[in-house]
Amino acid sequence: MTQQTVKFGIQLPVDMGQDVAEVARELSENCQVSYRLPEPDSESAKDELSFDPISGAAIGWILLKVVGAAAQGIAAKLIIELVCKRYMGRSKESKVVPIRFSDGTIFELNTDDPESTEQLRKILAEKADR
Amino acid sequence: MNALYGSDGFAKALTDSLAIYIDFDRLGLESTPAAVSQAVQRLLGLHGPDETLRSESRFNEAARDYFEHFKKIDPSDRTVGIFLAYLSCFFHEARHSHDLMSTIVGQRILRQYFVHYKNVPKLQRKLKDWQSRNASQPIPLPLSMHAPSMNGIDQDVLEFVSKYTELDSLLDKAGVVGSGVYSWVGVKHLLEASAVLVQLEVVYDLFGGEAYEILWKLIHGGPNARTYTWLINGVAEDLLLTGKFAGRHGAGSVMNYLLWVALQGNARTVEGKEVEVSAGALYFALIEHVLRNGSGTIDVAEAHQHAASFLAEWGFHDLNSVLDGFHQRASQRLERSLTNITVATDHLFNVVETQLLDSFLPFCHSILADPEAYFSGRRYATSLISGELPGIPIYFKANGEVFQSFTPGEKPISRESAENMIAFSSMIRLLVNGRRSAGLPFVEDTCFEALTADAGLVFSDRLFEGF
Repeated sequence: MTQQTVKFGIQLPVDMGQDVAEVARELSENCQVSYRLPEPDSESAKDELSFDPISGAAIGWILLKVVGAAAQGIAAKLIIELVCKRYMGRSKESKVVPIRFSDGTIFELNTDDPESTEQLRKILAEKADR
Repeated sequence: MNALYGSDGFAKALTDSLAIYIDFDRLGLESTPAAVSQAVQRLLGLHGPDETLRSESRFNEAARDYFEHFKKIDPSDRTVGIFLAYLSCFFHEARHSHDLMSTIVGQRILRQYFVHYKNVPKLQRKLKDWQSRNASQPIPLPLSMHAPSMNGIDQDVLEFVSKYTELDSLLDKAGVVGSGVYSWVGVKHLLEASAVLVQLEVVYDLFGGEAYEILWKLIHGGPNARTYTWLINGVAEDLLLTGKFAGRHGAGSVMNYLLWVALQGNARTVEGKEVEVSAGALYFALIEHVLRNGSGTIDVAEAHQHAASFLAEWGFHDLNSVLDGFHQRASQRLERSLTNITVATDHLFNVVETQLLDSFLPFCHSILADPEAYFSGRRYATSLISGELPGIPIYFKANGEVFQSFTPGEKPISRESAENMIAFSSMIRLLVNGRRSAGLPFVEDTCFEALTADAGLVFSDRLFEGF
């Protein structure tokens, strides 16, 4: 089977690092999953972090890379688990979460809209490097 | 240039296009409470004026009803705090746009942007040429970081990016006093002080001290807001302690008036040379002079007289000649550039500049004819909603839909001009500063689509570098 690489970023609260690590571990059985969390103290942080106006919590781009034959499917699973289950599991979270790709494309995933999830799958297929 | 965030996340004014943006769907990590979103949209007449709120007393009554309701349904004050922040941030951000339109500092900043907007098509062409010459290598975003390392990139592109990046910090640096106690005060602080004063006064007058405290806690949380409120508090305390003002309201109006005079800039002749004074220094000198010389209860009319005597005493130009002089010089320069049009983009932004310049003096004169309507926070709010002030482009998002309109009032710039400013500023921000660096996300997405699908450019995003 063809080896694929899918790279993307999800804009999430920075304190979800633990969740990212867990989900990456759970889904890395047939694929290689790596991630990079935003570093609040880094030089680029001022451009990459925003803050929740009520709680002051930091929001940043969490980068994920999936390599393997089933990379597209695993990437979709990663997003659904992280965004739709873990993130949305927290109270009052926004229903729209931006997903970013290495060519600059940004897709706003609306977790309430099944068409939006379908659209995301198509974009993941387009962005996968073979 | 970064947008001037009133209270980050509630609303923003885009200083490079005069537009206000409010997202009623999303508030940082959360969805905005639907009832708050609907209440604020109704009070501000964002879908057209609500006839039942036409009179000031009905508006005040409805606003207070909402305030009491939100307090009742959520005793933690969280919901009412969000309501106060959304409502007052609208006035905060509108004030930025009006201050930029009615001051010389603002007109100069906008003009600098227009010079860059005129060159966007050329920038795009040069990037396309570079990509053709470099075997379709992706253009690395943001250009502010990567342009110097792009092999064989045109010198014009480097210059454009470098000048735009400098412009980005113009608001931070402009008007800064070189040394002394207030050396940290620049134009940005004066603009923020003006907007925060209006915002706090609107809340205090409409809802009273309790609401003021709730909002104050919210605004005070951010590091930037602390700087601005420090500036306001430091001066307001001095003003109030003198006992020369009609309470908080009187002191606020006088401070707002002096901020506006300082933002016009001024110059005097020193050793045969015309020397421009920084806006920050001028502001504190004016405050000092008004405090020393004012007697009885000082209002805006008296502050106006004292400001005039200060300018005369220290050899500065009087306010009217500063405004007239700027208008005359800017008109002459614009007239020359109108005869020298080379590309369509030049024409677009000459039109915008002409519209802004044409409205400049009438707007300033109307402010000076009825100063309370602009300098008193509460009057400013009612003047804005009733359409007595110039209309400002406003974009807002509600229920997943984006709406575009103007605040009520005569429009100094046409809808087409407003759209051009937004589109070109978004295009530059996207190329020079990268994705989601500020601005309106949905306009930025349209620009990205135009650059990739239509113009055929291919990009790489710095965020993924080394990953």
